[in-house]
Amino acid sequence: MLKMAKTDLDAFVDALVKASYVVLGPIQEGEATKFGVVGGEEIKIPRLTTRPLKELFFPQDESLLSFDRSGTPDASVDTSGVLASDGISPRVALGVRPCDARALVLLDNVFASDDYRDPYYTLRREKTVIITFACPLPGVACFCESTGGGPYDETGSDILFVEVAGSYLVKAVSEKGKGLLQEVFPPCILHEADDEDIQAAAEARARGELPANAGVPIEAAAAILGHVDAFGDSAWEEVYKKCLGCAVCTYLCPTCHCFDIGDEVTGASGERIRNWDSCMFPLFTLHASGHNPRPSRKERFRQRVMHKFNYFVENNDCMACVGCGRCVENCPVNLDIRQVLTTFARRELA
Amino acid sequence: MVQETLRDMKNPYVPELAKITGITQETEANDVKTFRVEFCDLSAWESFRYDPGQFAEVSVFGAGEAPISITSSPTQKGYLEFSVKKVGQVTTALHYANEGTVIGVRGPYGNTFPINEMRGNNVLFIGGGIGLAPLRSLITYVLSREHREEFQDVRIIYGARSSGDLVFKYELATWGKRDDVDLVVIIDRPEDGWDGRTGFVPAVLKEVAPCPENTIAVTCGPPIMIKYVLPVLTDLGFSPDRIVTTLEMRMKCGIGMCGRCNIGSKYVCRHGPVFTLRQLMEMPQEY
Repeated sequence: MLKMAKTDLDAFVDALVKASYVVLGPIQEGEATKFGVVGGEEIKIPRLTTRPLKELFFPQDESLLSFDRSGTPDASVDTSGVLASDGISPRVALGVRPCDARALVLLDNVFASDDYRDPYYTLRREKTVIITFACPLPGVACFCESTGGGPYDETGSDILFVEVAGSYLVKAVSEKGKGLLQEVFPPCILHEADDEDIQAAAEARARGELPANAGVPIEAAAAILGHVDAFGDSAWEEVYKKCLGCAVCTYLCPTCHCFDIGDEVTGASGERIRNWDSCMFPLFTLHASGHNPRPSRKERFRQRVMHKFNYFVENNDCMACVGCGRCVENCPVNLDIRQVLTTFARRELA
Repeated sequence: MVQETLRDMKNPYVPELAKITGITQETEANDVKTFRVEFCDLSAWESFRYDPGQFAEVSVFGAGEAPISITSSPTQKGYLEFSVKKVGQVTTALHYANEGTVIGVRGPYGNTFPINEMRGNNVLFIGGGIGLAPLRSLITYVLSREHREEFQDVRIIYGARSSGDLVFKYELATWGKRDDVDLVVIIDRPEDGWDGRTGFVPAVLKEVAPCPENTIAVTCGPPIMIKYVLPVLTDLGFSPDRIVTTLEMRMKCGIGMCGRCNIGSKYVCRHGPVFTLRQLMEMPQEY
């Protein structure tokens, strides 16, 4: 275990920049915080960025390819601009919270499965080292522990920073993380931690894990949602009612991955663009014929909950929720997924 | 190391370019056309090996992509065929395309009709309207010289609203002439010059009453037709494992990532589009 003075964080970033890494960390954009390029200015690590880490790998919109129809009738397709492997430099994402890091592992199930690999996502994943900062004090909407994670969870992280009295204890979690630490850092920044530091980190961890365990009965809820009658349960008639269908929950969710693909054209050439989409929108499933298998907010809300806590579990053996609480904090009508889960956990299906 | 693997990584979103080499007007209203396409780069065939039941994402550059079932059969070499009804943005753009237009094709995607389970059995096809398109791939396969003797009796019941709405009339004529095919073509109500049967597909199916023994039924058509065909087949004694259908959902990626075509935990693009009635009975009624 290594140790670094908190005041050396900016020097740490400078060392990464000097070693030609693009350093991504929390930045302010209007009223929101998100991950963006940092360096040069003092870094502030918020409790949790407003926007999720996922957009470093799966941006809100991106070009999948460009095409040219000027040689009519012959078209041509070009992906060189977007897929050139040197188009993305080695990157370090720092100031990540454990929930966001764990979410990437869930997304890997979708974008980097054995059958199909999404090259855009996978390329960025392979080129990025994740440095996670353990949460000293989880927020009121946090429920990561209930989902199997925790404020000190290492899943998805390459390096874990734990804050202890003016210092960070630095732990290499993966080989990738170990490699980075060995490659980049001079001993004047990173030095060996002593037993006292390690003891202090363990105590901080014990303190931090308590508030993050919001006691959401997720396992019980998931068991009910996995019941054959759950889909038709009358509880759905009530739980969705407040929902406006604004989709902020899915946009800010670090594990939601739905997208749309469409062409944008200027003259004879154009691009095929991928955008975030949401199961909360009626157009999401609307057939060209006019038929819509999920015609109302009830079906769409059910889809979101069932996908996270049942369908995803069936397909990937894990639920698609890390308990970051963004959907709870940002819902304009205070529709709280923790309450929805509690409602289902108490249902009795024969 | 990393760079090598990335270079080798096939990008599933990049379509192969394919040239339209033939367009057939299928319906009198001209709202269904069959497009024959050939890959511009012949090596594309190496990665495009398909079986009946699968689909492709077809793109008209500038209009976008749509999932379209492959209506040709793998026994037909050198080209693919897609029968397309003009309903949305991409299909409308496709209908404006000409011979020679270059479009994009990526795939093949989805599962296939259970050909192995069908071997040695009778096959009953029940189609309605444009729903004959995915069935035609399998029918052509089953009736091909290479494969015909692997299957027993073949019966096809196909209906459309009117004679002008029947698709693949040239195929119907050929199949009707074969003595190893029992073909029943139906239109909804009598018409001048129509001497075939009239009525709705489920009702005619009931009258024809095919024997379920050693028979697998494959049906595709408008949802309302499928809805009434399934109970008729069940009443006739077909077990739910031997009733096969193929579903449609709005799709974008075709490879299980974009998240919209699921019915419960099953993605139509990956686990489907072909499902048995037994599987459908275990899925939520959300399609």
